[in-house]
Order: sequence, then structure tokens, then C-alpha cells
Amino acid sequence: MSVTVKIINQIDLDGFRRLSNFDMLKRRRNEIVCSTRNYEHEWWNNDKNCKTYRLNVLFVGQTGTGKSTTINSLIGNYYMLTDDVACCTKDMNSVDFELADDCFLCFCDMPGIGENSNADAQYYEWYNSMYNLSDCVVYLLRADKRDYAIDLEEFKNLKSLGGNKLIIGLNCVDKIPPINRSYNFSLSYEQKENLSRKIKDISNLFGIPQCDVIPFSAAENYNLTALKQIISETLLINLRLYF
Amino acid sequence: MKNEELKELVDRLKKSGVNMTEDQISQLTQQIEKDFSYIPKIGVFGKTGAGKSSLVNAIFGQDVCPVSDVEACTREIKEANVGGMLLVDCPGIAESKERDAEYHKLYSELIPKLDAIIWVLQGDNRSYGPDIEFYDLLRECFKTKEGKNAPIYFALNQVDKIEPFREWNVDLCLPGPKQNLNIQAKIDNVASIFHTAPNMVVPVSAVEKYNLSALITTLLNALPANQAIIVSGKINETLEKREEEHRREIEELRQRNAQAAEQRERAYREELERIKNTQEEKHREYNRSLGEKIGSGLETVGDFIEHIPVVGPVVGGPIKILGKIIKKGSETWKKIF
Repeated sequence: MSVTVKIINQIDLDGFRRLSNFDMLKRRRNEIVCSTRNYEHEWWNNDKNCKTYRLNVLFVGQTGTGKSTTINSLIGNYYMLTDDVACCTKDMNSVDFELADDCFLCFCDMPGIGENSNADAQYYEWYNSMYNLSDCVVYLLRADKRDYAIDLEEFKNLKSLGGNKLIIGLNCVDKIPPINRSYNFSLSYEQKENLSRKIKDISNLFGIPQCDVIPFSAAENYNLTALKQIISETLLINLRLYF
Repeated sequence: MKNEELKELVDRLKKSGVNMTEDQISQLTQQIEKDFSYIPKIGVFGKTGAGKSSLVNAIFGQDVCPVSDVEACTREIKEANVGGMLLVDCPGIAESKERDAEYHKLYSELIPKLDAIIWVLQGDNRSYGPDIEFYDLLRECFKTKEGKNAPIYFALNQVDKIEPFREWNVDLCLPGPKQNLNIQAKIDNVASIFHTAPNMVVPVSAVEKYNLSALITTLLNALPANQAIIVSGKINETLEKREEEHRREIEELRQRNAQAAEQRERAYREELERIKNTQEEKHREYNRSLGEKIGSGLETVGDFIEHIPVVGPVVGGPIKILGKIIKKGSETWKKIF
């Protein structure tokens, strides 16, 4: 079965070098390029009719958890379309960063599940096939919600596919109750307490160590550095470059 | 209606010439009592975390249902009597699959006993998959006496958190301009997802106590006509009381804030004054010591020059006198120059 990913934007090597806080990847670019040139990372580019090697970072989760927003914040530019109200990502989109001529680091944005059962069936299939083709999967949850029935099921399913590449991003920590509308956002004391309880709950529910649950806020650029760090580490671990 | 009032009514009827047997009278009183003592039941359903319990608490004005910031806490059906209406707070769905099956049964048992249903949605959420499934179930079970589909109302809760959520006006309890547009867009979106009219969707915020009276009004419309009138008289009183309380709370909060701000301002000014004073004091001290030093220096120079023959006493004397003057008026010596 073939998987089609729509490339929203392709950014050259300079763009990759300018990417902030991915120092670990930048320093070891050559090693990464060498270790991705294998069958597992091989893709066919239909537009240019050539073979490419892609290192995928996948963003999955329920709709409205801020997958597109997170990618935009990580890259520092508005490539992905976002919407305040309705679901807007309907296909698999990606922003590619050039590592070498035919080797790319791809931030891949998936459509969100839980919108309605018809669309979900298709999305689950995509999730499964893309999971096997990627080296880091960020499962996004929202800190201010607790309806995790869909997430629990899908997470279990992805986990059963194997691999040590699944991490949980806990988005929207700025909205965790009690609500805090102050500008120059920083977590209030009560919010911090609630957040630590939330992280414990989630690590228990999803059966994942607490260090793999990264609280952040894409809208406020809060704690994104930690997310970038863990993405870099997971990529390197999967390429067997992390010692 | 009280018994005395009923008796009076019967007496009046007799006086005006209506002949009634005992049976008829008891039938009449029973019917009236039944109509007046009827308490309509309204079910509050929704996903976990949507704020069902918070909404019931906000309408009721007291913490009748326990709420939590982090985990799901309503496990059983709770009832709250609000001015002649019974709000039934149900446990939320979509927490986990096992619980859902359990609640599924609970819901379908409860639904036929209800007069109206509010489905609570989280305003800043878009994953309505589980909502749609349960909503379909509700539509099947929830019928009027005539067998038609009874209307289900939607409360779009937590609209204060719809993006951009920092725009919310806390003082006035109103959404900001962009937020307002997004709320309208959300209402249309929800209406189209659940195949209902936009006027069935009421935006509210339990935390900010926004638009609660609109929700109640909509609910009253949902009740069968003869019951709605009886309820509305009672509920308007409680609602007015609640709104006044909330207004008073905000007013108090604002006054307290103003007082605190004033106090801060005063403390700041005092601090500034103190710093200014100490600086001036230091400056004066410095001038004085400098004056003394220069004065004593000039005196010694004068002393030294006096010992020189011929010119000495003529030049040295004035210098010595000048030094003495400077030393004496050390505070004001700068003004002399």
C-alpha cells in the first residue's frame, strides 16, 4: 500500500541550519544522512521522479489538540493552516528540511481523529502505515481536557506496533484550570500543581514514563525547547546514533 | 398551591352557585395539586470535562456537585433542585471504553423520565466523535408523549476559552470582538455537525457566569407549556438573586482591587520620598565634610605663609581668615562661591 504525503514546503540546507534549538541534529547531520540511506527510509517523489530518503517526525492526536500549531511553533513560521473553530487538516501534510540533496527531515502533520466515525476509519489506517515509516511520533494531548477514551485506544494500538519512538506532548498548558489570562504568560502556582497531577495521571493512564510526557504550549511558546530536545533525542535513538 | 387557598377556591365556587359533589371536589383538588407540585426533570449530559457539574453549580449558585480541575469526578447521577426545576447531573462519557458501556445503560434508563435534555459541549474543543454517537442514542430514546423526537438543547460551555482567550473581558463578563465572531462561527459549526438549528445552541460559561439566564430561558421554552409558567415564576426570583449576588461579588472584587492599588501607590510614593530624603542627607553631609577639609587646608596654608618674612603676614592673614570662614559655614560654603 502506498502512502501519499503532501509536501507543503521544502526548505534548503540553510533553513535547516537556522532552525533553532535542534543543535543535536545539526551537529550530527552527516551521520544522520549516512544512517538514513537505507530501505526503511526510502520514498518516491512523484513530482521530481526521484528517490528520496525521509526522516519523519509524526504529529498525531485528537482534532483540536494543536498539531498544526505545534509544527508552526517548532519551525517558527506559519506553513500549516490553522483554524480557531473547525477542523482544517484533512490530509497528511509535511514541511521538509533538506539535510542533503536527497535526504530530508520532515515534520509531518496528520489529520486529527475524533471528528466523526466515518473520517476516523480512514485516519486510523493512515496513522498505522505512517507510524511504521517514521522515527519519532509525538502524540498530542490537551492539558485542559480529560476525554481520553479515543486516545487510550489509539495509543494502545500504536504502542502495539512496536518501536521506542512514541512520546506524549501535553499541549495548551496555559489553559489548564484555574484560568490565567495574564499577558507575559507564566504558570501560576495552582496551575503548576494541577499540571504535575495531570502528568502523573496521564503517565498512569497511558502506561508511559513521566519523563516522556512533555508539557508545553505552542501558542505561548512555553517549554518548546524541551519538546525539541526530546524529538532530537528520539530521532537519534532510532537511528542508533545516541549513546 | 396551599390547602387554604384551595379551600378558598372551592368556597368561592360554591358561593357563585356551582354545585359540586364531594367526589368532584376531591378530583379537582387532586388535579390542581398534581399540576402545581409537578417538578420538571432536566438531564445534563455531555463528555467528561465539558463542565456539566460546574454548569449545574453555576445555575444553582452553590456547590451541589463536586468538581475537579484534573480528573473525572462525577460517578453517579446527582440531582439539584433549582427554583422548581430538577437538574440531573450525569457522569460524563468518553473517559474510557468500559465506563462508556456502563454509562450507556445508565443513560438509557434515565432518559424516559426526563422532560428536557441539555447536552453540554466544551466550546474550545472540536473532537465531537463520541458526542455524535451518544447524541444519536439520545435521539432514539428521548421521545415526547406523542412519540415525536423531543428537542435536545446544546449548552456550548467554556466559551470564555475560545481563541483568542486572553481577549475575554473579566470585568464585564463579555467576550472580546474577535472571540465573539469565533463563538458565532462555533455555534454554526456545532449546529451543522449535530443537524440542529443554531438557536438550539446556547453559548455559556459556568466559570465566568456568562449567559446563564439565556440558557434557563431556553430550557423553559423546552418544557411543556403549562409547566413552564409555574416554573418561570420561581426561577426568575432565584436567578435575579444569583445575578445580583454575582454583580455584588464583582463590585466587591473591583473595590478591593482599587484599594489594593491605592495602597501600593501610597507605599511606592513613601518609598520614593524616603530615598530622596536620604540622598539629600548624604549630599549635605558630603558638602559639609568637603568644606571642613578645604577650610582646615586653607588655614594650614595661611599658617605656613605667615612665617614668610615681609609678605607673609599680609598674604597669609586673609587666607587664614578665609579658611576659618569656610570651615564655620561649611554647610553653606558652596553658596558663597
